[in-house]
Amino acid sequence: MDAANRFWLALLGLLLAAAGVVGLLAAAGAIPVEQPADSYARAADTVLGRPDLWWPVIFVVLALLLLLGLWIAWREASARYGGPGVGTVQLDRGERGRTTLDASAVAGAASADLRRVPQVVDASVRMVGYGPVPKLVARVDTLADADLDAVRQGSEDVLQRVQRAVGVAEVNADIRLRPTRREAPRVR
Amino acid sequence: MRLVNRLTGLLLGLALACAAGIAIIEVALGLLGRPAWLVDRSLVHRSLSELRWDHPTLVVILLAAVVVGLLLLLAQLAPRRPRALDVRDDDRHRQVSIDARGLEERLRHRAMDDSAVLGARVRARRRGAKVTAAVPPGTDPAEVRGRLRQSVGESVEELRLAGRYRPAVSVRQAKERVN
Repeated sequence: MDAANRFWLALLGLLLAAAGVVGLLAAAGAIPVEQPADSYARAADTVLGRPDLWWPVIFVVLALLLLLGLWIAWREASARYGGPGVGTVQLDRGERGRTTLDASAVAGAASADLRRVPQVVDASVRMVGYGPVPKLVARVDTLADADLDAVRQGSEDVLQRVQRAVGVAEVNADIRLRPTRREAPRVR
Repeated sequence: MRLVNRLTGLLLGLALACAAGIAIIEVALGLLGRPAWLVDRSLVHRSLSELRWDHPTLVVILLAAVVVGLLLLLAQLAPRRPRALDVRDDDRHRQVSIDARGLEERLRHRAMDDSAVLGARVRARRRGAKVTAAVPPGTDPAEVRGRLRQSVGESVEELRLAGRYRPAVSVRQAKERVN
């Protein structure tokens, strides 16, 4: 997400700067470029010459730009580390019904389990992929001087329980450890 | 910076959507022979029909485009602090990382364990962390630096970060406590 943003904002910056430089050179008469008024007149003649062709084209282009703008805004507003979470997934479908899994319930249980690991101050888990190997993203806040190997071992035990609960042989997990100044809760 | 980029992207997306939406409405109104909603058509037509590259307003806009474009480009190309650092893990199903601010807090905590240290500041970068510690006047900074190099280095080793990661320690005598 961040890399994509950096790429397209850098590209936008480059295009803006390049367009500005070309325009300023044209204003100074250093390069022979058609005047904007001439370009406008030519474009207007083209559109008015074939209105049945060009107005639909203009509408489609504008509609695509509208959708692109909305998509960019939605993507920026909703992006989360690891991607969007999984909702309800179907585990099995028989003649008389189906079995579904609420991914947020599994993630909530895993978060609560992780918070019970010694030296863990807080934790949150999200399921961001489901399939033969589901994917979890976990953020684990620990004491500043926590034994991180022990925390990782504790996290591993939690992931094993998730595997058994979901009924899969393996889960992929992206675990981010975050030592903090916070103290462990007194009551668990 | 990541937040600024997201906000910039959000605003640019909304601006693009608004501009396209207004243009669609204006074009539709024009085709239906109805009066314009927000844009003065005759003014736009007149301005564009007379626009030349050396028009003062256009030159100002072009200058602004160059400045904004270069600032945007430089801001994106400038090296950035990592958000997290990968930890070595042999299990291909696990990807473990340590939050950069968390690493700073951990190393700061380790430095503060030294009884001679009044305060410490840590800045984590991609290939190393810079630890700055303050000691009371009269304390030998070289001696404390040696101890901190040892303890902070051990702390980094314990983390088993992927790739080489070097902590650099500097110690100064301080009159006031730093955080």
